[in-house]
Amino acid sequence: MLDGRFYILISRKLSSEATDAELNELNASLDADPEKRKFLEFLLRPKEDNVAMNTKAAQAFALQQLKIHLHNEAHSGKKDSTDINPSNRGRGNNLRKTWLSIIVVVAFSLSAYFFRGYLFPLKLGEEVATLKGVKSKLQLPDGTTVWVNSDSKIRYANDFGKARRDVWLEGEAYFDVKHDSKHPFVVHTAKMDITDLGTVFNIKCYPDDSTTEATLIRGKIDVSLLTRKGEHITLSPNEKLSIYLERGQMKSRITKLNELISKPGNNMPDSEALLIPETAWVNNKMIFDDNTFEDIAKTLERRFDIDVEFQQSDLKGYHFTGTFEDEDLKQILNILKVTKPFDYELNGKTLIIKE
Amino acid sequence: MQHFDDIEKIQYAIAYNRDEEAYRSLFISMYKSAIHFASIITKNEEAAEELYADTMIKIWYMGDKLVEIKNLKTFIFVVLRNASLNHLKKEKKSSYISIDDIEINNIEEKSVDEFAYYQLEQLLENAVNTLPVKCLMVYKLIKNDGFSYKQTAEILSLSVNTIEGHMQNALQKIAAYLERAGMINKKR
Repeated sequence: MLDGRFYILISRKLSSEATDAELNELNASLDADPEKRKFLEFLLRPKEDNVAMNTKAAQAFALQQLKIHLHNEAHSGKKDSTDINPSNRGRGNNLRKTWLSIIVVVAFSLSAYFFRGYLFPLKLGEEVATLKGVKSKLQLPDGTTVWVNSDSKIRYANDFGKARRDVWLEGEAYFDVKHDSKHPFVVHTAKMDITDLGTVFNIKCYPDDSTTEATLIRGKIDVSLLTRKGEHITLSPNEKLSIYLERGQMKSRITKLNELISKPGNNMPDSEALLIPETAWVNNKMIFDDNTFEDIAKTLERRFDIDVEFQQSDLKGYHFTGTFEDEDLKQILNILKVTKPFDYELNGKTLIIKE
Repeated sequence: MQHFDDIEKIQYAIAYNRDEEAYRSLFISMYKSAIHFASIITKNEEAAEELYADTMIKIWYMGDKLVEIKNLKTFIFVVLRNASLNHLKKEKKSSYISIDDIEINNIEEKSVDEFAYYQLEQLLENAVNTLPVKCLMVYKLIKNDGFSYKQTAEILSLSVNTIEGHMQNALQKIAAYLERAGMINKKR
């Protein structure tokens, strides 16, 4: 059987154009060559249902409905054969109701558009998203606990737990993974995939940060970098992997966490695990360890749901060290002001840092 | 052929009963395929969304004439194709543009994860993305959107034989790609 013929048969099968004779011919050739059967099975694999796409479609529909109703409003009163409700006159009330519900749907859709995917903290079946200023603690179906920081999105697979446990993350989350060697737990982020091997770890991958970080507290994780095929890095406890861009090249660096906090031997007890800068957020603390004002500003943005602007860019380079827990934004800024000269102005949701 | 009798019921409901629920379900069920299709032509997803919305508005305003359409899904794609090509004409300020003129972007290959499940999805996506434009469009319309040869031919303004040729070509290229990736072996 020539290969060309094989593809024609598949083509006809896929488009439902194949005759019975042709289907028999195809089956015969699949029986004769298992690689051909493999190929066909690849093609026919069902695709994952896309929850996000349906939401998008629903929003698009709501906007389109508004267009139609605006069109009708413009032509109302005229006897128009293209009117949605031909016998409209007795239905003033219904039209108003529909109109109001359209407004509500559109307002919802528009606000969702402005938040650009940062929907209200809700569970869309398998997805959770947090707004700025909001944190969330989840339990996954397998008993794994995940703390999700502000301004983040986490989604787990439809078939989570069947053969594997897959999770997609944008933002920051702290994972305490339920040990299960039969079902690999994998966190997918934009720049790297992290395979858990029975662990507690923190991942930070905000899209507007230049660095992606994975910090291992306990256990072992395997990280594969998406831009370097086949390259795997295994982290040991108390190690932090940072991925960053330098002169157009993706670089990686492993740092040992603050040795003062970790104990000899590999396992950090949980209470101490949450005292380091990388994971302090889980207990609502912010620990700055010689961080730049620029980085601190990003953390403040997410924590307090504000936008920070620096009037003079050299202010971005100030370094600060300190721990904050219950202080509000003004208190934090006043404390920072003590150590470095700057002034600030807070207008609603905008914070301006100036000299 | 996916759910064609359902589509007919929806068609009647929209045309005669002005059923908004039916219309909504039609809009949502075709959304993904339509946007992907229009995006290949316009290269711009926002434009594709607007074009699809306008196309669906036309469908609504056809009123009871809608029942005269033999194949609603194909019809929607044809209208969308024309709208997309017109959009391109306006963008490029040229008087004549056909499907032949569409170039495909160089789609970067995404790297593939070691685990089997993820790898297959990504590989298949990569393979499909390397196809030449017409092959890509034919493959998607037939495999993903469930159109027949005839319907695909109508949507792309090509002959049925050409369609089969493109499909054969697409499958051959995909198989070659999977072979190079080590997922299947060719018998000698």
